[in-house]
Amino acid sequence: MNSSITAAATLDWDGPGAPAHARREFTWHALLWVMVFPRKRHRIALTVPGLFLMATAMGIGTAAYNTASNILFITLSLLLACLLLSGLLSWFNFMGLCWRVRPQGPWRAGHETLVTVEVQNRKRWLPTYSLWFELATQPRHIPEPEDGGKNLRMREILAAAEKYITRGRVYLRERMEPGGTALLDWGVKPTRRGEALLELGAVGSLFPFGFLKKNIGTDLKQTVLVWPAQVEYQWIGAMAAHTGSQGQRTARAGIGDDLLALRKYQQGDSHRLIHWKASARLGQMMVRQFAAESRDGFVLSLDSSATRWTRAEQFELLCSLAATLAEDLFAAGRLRGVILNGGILRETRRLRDVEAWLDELARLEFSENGGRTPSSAMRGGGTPPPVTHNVITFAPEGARGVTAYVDGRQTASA
Amino acid sequence: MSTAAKPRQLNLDELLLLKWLLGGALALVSLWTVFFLDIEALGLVGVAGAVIIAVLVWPQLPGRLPPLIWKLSVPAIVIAMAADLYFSPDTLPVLIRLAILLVLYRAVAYRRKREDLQLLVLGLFLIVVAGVLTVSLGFAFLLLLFTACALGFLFIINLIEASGTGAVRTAEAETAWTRLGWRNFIGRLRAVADWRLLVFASVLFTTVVVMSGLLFLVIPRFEVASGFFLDRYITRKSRSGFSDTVKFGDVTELLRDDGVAMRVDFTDASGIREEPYWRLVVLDEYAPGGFKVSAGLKGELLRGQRIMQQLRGRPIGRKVNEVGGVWTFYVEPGVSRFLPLPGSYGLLRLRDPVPLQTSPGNRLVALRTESMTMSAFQLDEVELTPTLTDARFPQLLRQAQSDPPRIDDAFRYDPRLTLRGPEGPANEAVLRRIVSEVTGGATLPAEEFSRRATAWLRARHAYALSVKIPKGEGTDDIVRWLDSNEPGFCEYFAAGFTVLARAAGHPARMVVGFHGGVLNGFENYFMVKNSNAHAWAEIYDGKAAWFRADPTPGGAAVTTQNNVGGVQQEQDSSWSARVDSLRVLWYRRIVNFDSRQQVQMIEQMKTFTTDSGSAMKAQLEEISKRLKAWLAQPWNAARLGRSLGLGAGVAALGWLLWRLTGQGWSRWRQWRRPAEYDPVRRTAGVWLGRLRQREIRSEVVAELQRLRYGRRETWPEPRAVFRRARMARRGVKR
Repeated sequence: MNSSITAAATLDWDGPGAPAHARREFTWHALLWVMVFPRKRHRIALTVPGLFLMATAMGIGTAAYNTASNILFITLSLLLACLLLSGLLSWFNFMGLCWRVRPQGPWRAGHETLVTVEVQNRKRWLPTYSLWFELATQPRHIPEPEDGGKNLRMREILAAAEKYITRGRVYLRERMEPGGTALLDWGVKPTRRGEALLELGAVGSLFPFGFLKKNIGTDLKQTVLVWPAQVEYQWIGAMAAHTGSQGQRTARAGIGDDLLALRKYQQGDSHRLIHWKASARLGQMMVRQFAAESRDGFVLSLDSSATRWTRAEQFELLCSLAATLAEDLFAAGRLRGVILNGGILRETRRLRDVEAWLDELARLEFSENGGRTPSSAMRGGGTPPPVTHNVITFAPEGARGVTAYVDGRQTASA
Repeated sequence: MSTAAKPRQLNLDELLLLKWLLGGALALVSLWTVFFLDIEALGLVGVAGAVIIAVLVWPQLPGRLPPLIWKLSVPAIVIAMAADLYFSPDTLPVLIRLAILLVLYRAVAYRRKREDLQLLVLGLFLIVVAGVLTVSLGFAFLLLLFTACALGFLFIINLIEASGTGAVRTAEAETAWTRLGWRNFIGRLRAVADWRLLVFASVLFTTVVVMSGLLFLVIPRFEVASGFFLDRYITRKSRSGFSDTVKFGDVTELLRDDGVAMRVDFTDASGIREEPYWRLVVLDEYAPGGFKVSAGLKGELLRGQRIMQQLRGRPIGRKVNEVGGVWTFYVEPGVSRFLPLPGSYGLLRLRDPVPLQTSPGNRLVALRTESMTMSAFQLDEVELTPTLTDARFPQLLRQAQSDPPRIDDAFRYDPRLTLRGPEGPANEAVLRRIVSEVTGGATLPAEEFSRRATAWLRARHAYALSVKIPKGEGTDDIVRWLDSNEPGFCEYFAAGFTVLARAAGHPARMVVGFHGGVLNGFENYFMVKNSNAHAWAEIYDGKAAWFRADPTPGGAAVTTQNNVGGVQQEQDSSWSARVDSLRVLWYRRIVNFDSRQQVQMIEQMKTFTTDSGSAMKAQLEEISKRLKAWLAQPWNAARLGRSLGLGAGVAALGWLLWRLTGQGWSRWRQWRRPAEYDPVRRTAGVWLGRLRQREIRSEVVAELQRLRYGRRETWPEPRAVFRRARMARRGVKR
């Protein structure tokens, strides 16, 4: 999985009606104080109609005092009462609400993915109307400006950081009944590989009359891993592939000779695959499942040392190519394992092995401490892995490109 | 988006149609307020209302008009306003007519959020202007109606904005809501109506009204000089006959009007034993065809004009027979700029400092202009005296006779006018003859003359509302009427008396105002109607005072200080009086509410709280004493049995009522939503709640959950499950 959550508490519901929400003991002075000084991150702002209402109320108030006309005083008090009602209804609207954020599927740089906001109305009688949820995602570590920001003003620094932040707003368009749940999806396209911070910044509403914009700030944050982007590359592996490992058994289902497992019969299965003895024993039709045989399997060996990769863009391309090759080779059943910075070989038998490799690539940082320094920087070589053949290594090509080599021979380039 | 429970709610098109409906209602309510205003816009309001109703019923109509018409509408309105401003003498009616046109334009054109808010503001403008100018009870009703519509309107706008955010719709889809049929729409409204939400909305609206009432009471008041008032920008036509000139017949026209002219509220009605004469205007100058306020008296009023809020009447310290406590007058707009005064008073108090014209000798108080709104004022230390002390009059008369005012000094008060009647030899000959008939050739004191003249008039003329004056040459109408046997009404009697008194050498003048009224049976105040309009005379006693003479048949003939009639006050307890009492409540509690009353109210609240607390404490102590005494009485088996039986009976009755209420509620819910209500599921829910409270986790919980949420086919036998749940709970208790 590429979405890991930093703290278990963030998985939980948040909001005024969240089960774990600390309920303060009700006191009148606390209620009055909250009205005077709202809680932290609770913001109430006037909208244009609200501003107009206030201006109208002030105008009518001035006229009322100027003329001592009780008709104007009663109009003024009605306007103020409407404003109070607006606040009261807004409070009712948020009461008993809770929400949580769930990132959906793998996150990959440059690919759109979904974030689901799950909202629950835990009130017994009253529905909830017209909410919006302000979401944002950004790299966990935003790169500093090139000169360290010494010559930049704060506004420029913030503007530079804003480029890395993707913001979005999802709306609850329909009424949410008492006890109802709503799922709202936000499509987001992460721009950079690495750890990203997914944040539900605020939940807002103009309910009920649009006079006031009420925002409730939340602390709902999740760290999500963004896998490297997929890149297009040219594969010339046919001439480079070694054939020594052909016919090797793999842990995936396929059409080999070795029995991998038994499974239930499904419509369309060949009758020849039925395992009669097991079927008789279990009382239901079981079929044999054979293991796939690997053909020319490869080992991906990636050396991320700073002496080899001096340019950040090239390093990103390396990660993307390594990730893309790993996925493509695994899909074709030709990925035997992976090695990072001359470490041990980790076999990739299951999908989660590949996902673990993509997680590692996502976390790989471009720095001098990125990996072990290679003993020799021969072309296409890198650090020789303990395996002897069909090892794919990577090396820079020119100023921007990256080339993959199999046993010193070029096999792919991006 | 998906929801667990499928919501029953209106879609975007239905919301748009509802918004259209509410916007139209809002416009109609705001136009309705213009009917309260006395401006020339009723035709325009009628047309605008008809057009708005038409587009409400057929919302697709605006879409069929060519776009050019919509483009030309605003310039046309601007041109109409400019022309109106050019031809109209007042500014405010022009603004109101402009607002009507703009409301019409906004109500019939398709609107987005901005235009919706514009419609709201225009409607509010009309409502507030009408309220300020009329101060009528209808304003309160319309304001509440407008508020309800406006809140609903804003609510729907907000829902539309939330549900339509980011959605891109085609032009065809934009107007799809206009093609929804009303029948389907009403059916949908009924389907989505949730009684809980409706009750909640009603409670909230009531809360708004209560909150605004409380805010109205607690908003701090301090007096700022009247700097701006809308009625300066509008000229109002007088509806009554009580202006500076009264022609014969003016008062009688009012007699046919049954509308309330003023309401008089007093704090103590016990001392009032006669029908008051509400004195408005003193007409001292005779003119053929009527009487009028002389230019000199007008000049005196003008010279006595001051901006004031309080006016002292009687000198301080003079002992009088006060009645009524504090009298509060609510005079309807259009009655007169003169304030109705029932007698002498200690202090006259107005709501705000206003330019006030006074003539102490004539006991006249007048506003500079006739008020557009209800005028309220208070009188303290009122004495219902029929005499008016004026010790300076003989001196002024002598001075005027010895040194007559110059002809070009028309604004100097000339007391000689109170001795001048119809002139010319023919008039004088007739009057001399009648006076000698009345007096028998003797010179009578004013009181005696007054009595005889009244008797003569009543013997010669009957009372009738239609008068036929005999034709003749050389004499005035009033003289011919006096010389005839024709019936007449109050003005003829009063005028006839006045000219006879003047012919006899007694200074006299005609006074118009109201006489009597009925007590409202609900709120204990005087309702004086226009039909109470009356005219009478005042004659100078030759010493130091004017006294009232009412020669009209049915009126008190000559009323002096010592002649106070014991008239039984008539009470009105009809439905119209009940409705009218609401108006006085509105005037008392809302319109006339000021800083003094605010302080009074706070003091009353304080007193009430303290008193009720003491009373409650005393009552509790009394109950406690009685309980102790009851317990201390000797107990025997019979008494114990009776007490226990009574207790058990009360408990059983309470339990029965509780069960009946619960069953009634369940049946009502079952009748309301038979598909959604299931007693088994409900009972299972109740048991689940009880077991959850005691943290019981046994198999019966799963069975209860199945009964609560599961499909009916999978249910276990409910009674057995509930029995097991009961046993599980008892097991935990033990």
